[in-house]
Amino acid sequence: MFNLTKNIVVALLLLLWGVAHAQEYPLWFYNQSALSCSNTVVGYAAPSFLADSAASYARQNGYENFARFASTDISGNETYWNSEIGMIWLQSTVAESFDSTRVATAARTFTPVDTFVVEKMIGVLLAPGQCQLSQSFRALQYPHEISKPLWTVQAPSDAANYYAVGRSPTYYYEASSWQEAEQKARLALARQVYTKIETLQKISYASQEITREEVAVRLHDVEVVSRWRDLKDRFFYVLLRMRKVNGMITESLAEPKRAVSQQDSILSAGQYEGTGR
Amino acid sequence: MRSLTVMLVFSALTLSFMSCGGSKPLTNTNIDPMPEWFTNVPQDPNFLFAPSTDTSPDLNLAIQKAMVKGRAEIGRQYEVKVEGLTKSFMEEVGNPDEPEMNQMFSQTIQTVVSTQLRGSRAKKTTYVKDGNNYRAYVLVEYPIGAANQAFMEALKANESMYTRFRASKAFEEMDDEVKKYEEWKEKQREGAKTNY
Repeated sequence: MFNLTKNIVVALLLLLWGVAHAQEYPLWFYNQSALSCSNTVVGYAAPSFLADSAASYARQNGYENFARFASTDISGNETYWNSEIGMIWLQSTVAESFDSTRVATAARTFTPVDTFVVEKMIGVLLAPGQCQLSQSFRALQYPHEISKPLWTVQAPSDAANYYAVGRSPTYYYEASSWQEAEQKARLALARQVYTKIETLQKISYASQEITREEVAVRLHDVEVVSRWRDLKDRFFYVLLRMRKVNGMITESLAEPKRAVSQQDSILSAGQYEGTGR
Repeated sequence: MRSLTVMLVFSALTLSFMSCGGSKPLTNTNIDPMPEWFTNVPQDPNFLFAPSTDTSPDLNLAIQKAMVKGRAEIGRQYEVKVEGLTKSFMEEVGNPDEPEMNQMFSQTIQTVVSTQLRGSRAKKTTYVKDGNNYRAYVLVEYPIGAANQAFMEALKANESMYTRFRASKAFEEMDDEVKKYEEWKEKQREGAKTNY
């Protein structure tokens, strides 16, 4: 009986340690833009039965994220109805699309630099070519040890760049939360570059307004600046940055020109093996 | 008679006890004060600001709805400014014998500004839990200097219209604003530092 109780206590302690330890992230994950290696990208995946499989999925996701950040078309519209009872979201056709041929190119040129495992996610840092990551960046830190960053409530601004913050609630698989936060930030970036608004106000016996927002933008060379996880309110935050010259309005272009992104030029510079396209 | 008196006294006592109960507080409502910038909107000649709020069980949707309202408000603010500009231009140099020129000027304004916003963003965002909903507060910012600059560029594309516009007081005002915006941008470049 004593042994059983002892075993249960030990198991509970291990579980508690595991849960607490599972929420630690490497420092580079919080502050990716501070890395000396350029064009780094992070891939996420849910845990698999075999750890190798999960890491492989995370790498694949990283290659796709590279393609998304290198160049993404965001277009569509959203309609809202505003009346006495409040604003109601009616419909959305906003969608993202990216050039999937870049995924294969990234798979040939990007190599894993660091990998971390948390409770329900595996994360992989990928970089083109060789990238030396210092021990200080590999150190693990709990999100609650970092005070809530200012950028979560007040996006930075400077003359040369657009900044956008993306948020996501907590999903069962943490990878889904980080991916949604990144996607929301990309949408916010696109809306900064160009948004067309049409509103129709009707004032008769009751006031009402229909608002339609349209976005048609191509984003180039977007980079992740910072990430933060709010354990108290259970939200995930991602801060993205893009140079203002890299935002292109695609609305009036029947066949948008394919601009060469910074990442593309790096890949095609021939300094890495197998970059021919 | 006696029973009536007892009933009246009992009713009076019951009513007086009931009135001591006080009102019940609202449940599940976080009555945080709204952000200071929501009521005290910042002023900057280079920007238009629109504070906005909305609710939803989904925080992202609450923020997006507040942003849509804010952007629509920015669009209305800018339209008011442009209407004023158009009016002063027409009064100063508009010629009733040249309806085509007047129409072209109006069309240029419509094309450049209408409600196509370039550079609108959430300067500040915050939220509170309001029962089962999130209430998002957003301060939408629009760089009016950039819009003025785009307007001037569009005017320059039509030489005759630009020549006429240059002679007006409206041009002086707008040129002054564009210059101020250029100076502000230059300062931003010099001290380009981020605060994250």
